[in-house]
Amino acid sequence: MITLTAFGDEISPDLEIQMDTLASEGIYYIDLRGVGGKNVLQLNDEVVAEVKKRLDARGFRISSIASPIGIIPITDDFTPQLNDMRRAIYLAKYFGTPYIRIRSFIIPQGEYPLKYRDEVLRRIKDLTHIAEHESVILLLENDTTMYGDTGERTLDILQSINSTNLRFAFDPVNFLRSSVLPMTHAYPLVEPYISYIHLKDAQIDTGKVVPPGKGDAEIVKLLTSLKEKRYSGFISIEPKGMPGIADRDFFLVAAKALKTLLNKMGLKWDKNNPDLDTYSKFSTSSAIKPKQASFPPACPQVISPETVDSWIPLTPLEKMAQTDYDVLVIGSGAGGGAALWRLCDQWRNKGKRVGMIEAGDLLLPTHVENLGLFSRERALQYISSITRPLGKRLPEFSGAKQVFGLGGRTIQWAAACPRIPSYLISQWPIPLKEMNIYYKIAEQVMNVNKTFSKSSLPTRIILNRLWANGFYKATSIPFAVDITPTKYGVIHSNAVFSSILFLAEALNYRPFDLAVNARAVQLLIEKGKTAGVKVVSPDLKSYWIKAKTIVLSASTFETPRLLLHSEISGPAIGHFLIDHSALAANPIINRKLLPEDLGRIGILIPNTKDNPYQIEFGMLEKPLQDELEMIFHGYGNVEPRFENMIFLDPYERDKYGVPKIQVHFNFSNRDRVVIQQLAAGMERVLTSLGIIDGQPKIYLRAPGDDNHESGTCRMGNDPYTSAVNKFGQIHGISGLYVADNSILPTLGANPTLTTVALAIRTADYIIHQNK
Amino acid sequence: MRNNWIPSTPLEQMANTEYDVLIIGTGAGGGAVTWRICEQWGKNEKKVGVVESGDFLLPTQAANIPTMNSERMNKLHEYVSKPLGRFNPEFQGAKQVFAFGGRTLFWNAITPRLNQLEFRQWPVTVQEMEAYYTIAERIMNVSREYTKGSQMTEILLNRLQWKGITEAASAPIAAELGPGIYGQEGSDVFFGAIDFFANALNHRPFDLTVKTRAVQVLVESGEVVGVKVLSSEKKPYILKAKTVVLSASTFETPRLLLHSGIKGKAIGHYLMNHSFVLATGTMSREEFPEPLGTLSILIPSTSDRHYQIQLRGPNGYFWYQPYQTKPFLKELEINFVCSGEVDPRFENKVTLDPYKTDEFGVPEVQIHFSYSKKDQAIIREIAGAIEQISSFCGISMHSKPGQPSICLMPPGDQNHDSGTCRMGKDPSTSAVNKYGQIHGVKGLYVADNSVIPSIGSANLTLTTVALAIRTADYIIHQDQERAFT
Repeated sequence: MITLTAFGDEISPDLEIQMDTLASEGIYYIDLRGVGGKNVLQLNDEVVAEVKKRLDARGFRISSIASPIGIIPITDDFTPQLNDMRRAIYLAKYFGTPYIRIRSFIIPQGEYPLKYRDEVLRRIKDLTHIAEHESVILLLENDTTMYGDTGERTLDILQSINSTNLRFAFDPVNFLRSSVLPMTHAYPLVEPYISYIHLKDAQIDTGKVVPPGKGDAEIVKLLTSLKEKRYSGFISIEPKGMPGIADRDFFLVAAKALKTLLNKMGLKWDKNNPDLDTYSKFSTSSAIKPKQASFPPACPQVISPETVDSWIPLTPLEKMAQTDYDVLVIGSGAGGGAALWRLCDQWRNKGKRVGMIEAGDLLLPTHVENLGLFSRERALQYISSITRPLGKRLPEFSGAKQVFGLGGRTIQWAAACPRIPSYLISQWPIPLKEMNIYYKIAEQVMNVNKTFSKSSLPTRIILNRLWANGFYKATSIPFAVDITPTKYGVIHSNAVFSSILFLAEALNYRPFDLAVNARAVQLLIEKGKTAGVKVVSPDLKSYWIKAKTIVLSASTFETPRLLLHSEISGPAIGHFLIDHSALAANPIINRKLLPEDLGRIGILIPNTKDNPYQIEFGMLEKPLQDELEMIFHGYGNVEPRFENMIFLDPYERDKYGVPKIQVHFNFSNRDRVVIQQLAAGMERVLTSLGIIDGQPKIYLRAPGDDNHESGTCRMGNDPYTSAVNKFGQIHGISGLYVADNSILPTLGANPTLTTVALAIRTADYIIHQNK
Repeated sequence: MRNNWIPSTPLEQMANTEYDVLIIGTGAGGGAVTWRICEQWGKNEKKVGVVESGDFLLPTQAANIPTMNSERMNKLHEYVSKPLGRFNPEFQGAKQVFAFGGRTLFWNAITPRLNQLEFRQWPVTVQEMEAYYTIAERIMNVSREYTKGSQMTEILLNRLQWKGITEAASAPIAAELGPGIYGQEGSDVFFGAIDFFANALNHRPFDLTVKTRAVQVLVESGEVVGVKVLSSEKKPYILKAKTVVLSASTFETPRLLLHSGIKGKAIGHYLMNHSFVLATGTMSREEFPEPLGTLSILIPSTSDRHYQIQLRGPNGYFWYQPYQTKPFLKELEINFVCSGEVDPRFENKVTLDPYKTDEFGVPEVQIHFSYSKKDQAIIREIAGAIEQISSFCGISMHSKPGQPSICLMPPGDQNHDSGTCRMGKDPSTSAVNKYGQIHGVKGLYVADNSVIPSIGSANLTLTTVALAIRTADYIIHQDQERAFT
């Protein structure tokens, strides 16, 4: 509901004439700026009491104290204004209004307003502090020649002070006089702070004041916006905005024009003497009346039958063994999480039974770097405590490591998400176009973006140098990191993506059964069809879980291991193990060659047909030091070859009786050529950067150390050279799918994004098959 | 394996250490003391130890965990809570959380200051409280920005202020709102006591043991010398300490003191908790433009109004995860969460049950609590104020069968229990002096809700943290003195 009020002194210096005029227009509020030609703050107590008596007698109220605070040059002494403030507060309380109007100090002509920014803010802050203490509200009005003359500078004041006791009185004509289009340029900025409107209109070229709606101050636009935002509060009629010049006739024209506009637009305003009751109670310390109601009854105690005993709902294996699943996912890393997410999103209320089992336990409920609990150092300690060094017993693949736990390796990954280059995907059994669609879906759900390091100046300097030196494909690394600030109640506590976010989102769509500490040891296939899986708990109790469709997302090591141990034969299962040839260096950056603000550096030089390797480097923010160590990695293509393979070790079994794995892996001659090219490429990059001290040594990391191992259930059309078909289904077995790194036919970039894209595609195929 | 996310020290090793400071309890008070001491001492040779009776439960405040929505969070909270009120009908709503991080794992992070009028009766000056509030607010990221731009909050605030309720403001919340900073200090939004410990570890190491129950404070000739603790296998250990800080809660701190035979007329007495009135109303979605956002308005007490009213909403979406679908509802539910002042009275108290002991052989607590005439009048006033505010805001209040629109929660339900080791100058009416030290026992301090002498009507955590930091500063000062003499 809009309430109209007016600057009475623009009608006449005589209060009675003011009230007569206003009453004839159905307006019963006055902005108190002056009486009898005197400013309101200069009235003595006797006059004030007399004014109050006369107002009360006719049912008039004061809507604001229009004080002259802030209408002095910023270079003048501020102290007298603090005394003015005290008087204004006294009057506000006396007349029962919370509002005191102020302005933002006159800037000396020809001077740059920002020069006085600090002083303006200091003064308004002091005033606001008093207002907070005294429970009154300051209404800052924009005005020409003042610091707050444009939308930007007004917003600067309101934002910098940020108090509920400092609100904004929007004056469109004053913006116009400062050459600012009020609705086009100012309103969108200050809109959230508006608590009061001053309405007058004027022509832009002549500056002549005209009745509302007839000028260029975008009054109709303003009223439309107020209607949309359901503005509730005062609109003050201030036809000329020139104190001391009273023009009753023009006032009447302006008031009638405004009311016509309001009626035309269907904006309601209180015509008659409005409900003033509660408003006038302001002068006590709280407007809430100390009224006693009846003693409230006791709240009904709701005891919910279900409890939740961990941060993610778990289902006991006993219960899962009694369910016949439409789909059971084995493994909760990137592939399993993506498949489950897609199934739950697409199936929602379809009555399907979906389950997931995870061999490991609950570890962290989110990516390690999202937790303020961990410093960098403690995070590394934690990661090493949950990482199993599998490579210790694999002489040819000595860098291999595993993480068993909900979310798998994604609770500690680096979140780099480049796509695999198209020259490599063109060798795959999937059309490039389709791959690109699934890449887009994956990038959207994982919040992949490049903005993360984009704004950093060093990143821009480095990219320029790289482009100048021929690395024209160099770019910022796309990271799966949500950088949205928390707003409107949506909390962004989990910046770095992990598979746990897949599960969390899936839970939002529909319930699914999840068991942890549930080790799949054998797949059950009946007449070429998937029937279920045998699962063992840590206390070695075994369960058969029935499922029509099983998705294996247990990893490049564990998926073929489970298949081979279940005697599912396929000439390619376990073979074609690939991994990037991983080179690294620890270059030292000369701090003096970089600007003060480092920001984040994250650069990617993608793999191309001519240079079949990817280079990736970056730097995290660190304490000040002369030398900074850079993280510098290169990943070369490795040919998929039959003889690079994992196989079951006939001599060693784990505690569940499943044979452990063994690995054959070596680099081909072609791989070695790529390694040499890569090393040369890395050297060229280091020289191009121009910020590196000395000649850092480039070294080869142990195979498996980069977490990129893949290919052991590769995708293809030919069952002799591939384990799964183009939809991820094991050749010849209906209902058995693989969705993890093991299906990748080639590498060429960090594999996670691609694995997620393919897992979503496999889920779509399963949904289609179920129809 | 599952919860080794913060380094802990074996009890055997801790029993061989003489601690400069030993802190019992890891909630807001214990966290704040540990942080301040570690921050001020840095990497010196001092020994700092922390004892928690519960286990590791969550590594951050629950709402920060991606799988949580408010319903699952409430259910998990219920599951891990010990229902103390079940055995104490006069304080029926009381519940305890025994875990690393204490009740801050599930708190709502609302962090107003107490009304200054409250400090008139306190032994701490207003200026000092202001200074420590400022420190507490900075470390806990307290701001009023959480609801910024949310039309629900902006519009209702405007309506309240226009009606003259100028004390209404968006609620101060301990939350970090900036874009998550990758590779730095985590992106958790809501603050919890665990952040104190994490921050403390960034300054210096300290020894931590969980699942360790303090059963007796050891005092020799008026000076604290250590604490007797039991492991989860009930194996006893003596932890030697020059200074002991009890941050075990309003129930557990006096329980431990009384069981240790520490004399003090006020220990366990003057138990307080806000009276807790809830109400639910609705508004039409059409009242608000986009973006609706979230609602959190706090109307603090004034000199003539002895209760605080919070407006929260809409529905269960005060906070929610980015992937959660907040449905478009025609009717928005708004919750009134109101706390009324309760007088500190000697007869409201925690005592030891002479007949029942727990598994560690410590007597269980018995709680005696009732509302005074004045407390009851305030409760009635709250009910009146809810009606008035709802009419100012245009909220319609209607009761459904079996669900009154305004109702009173059982005593103890709000986690604002306090006062059982109140601060004061006079040992006959207070348990600790103005620095939180138990009257007459050198080196023994309390830093939790129990030290608060009067609670006004504001949520207590910020005040407890401010006082705990102050106590830590005093301990550091005393330690320097000792070094000189």
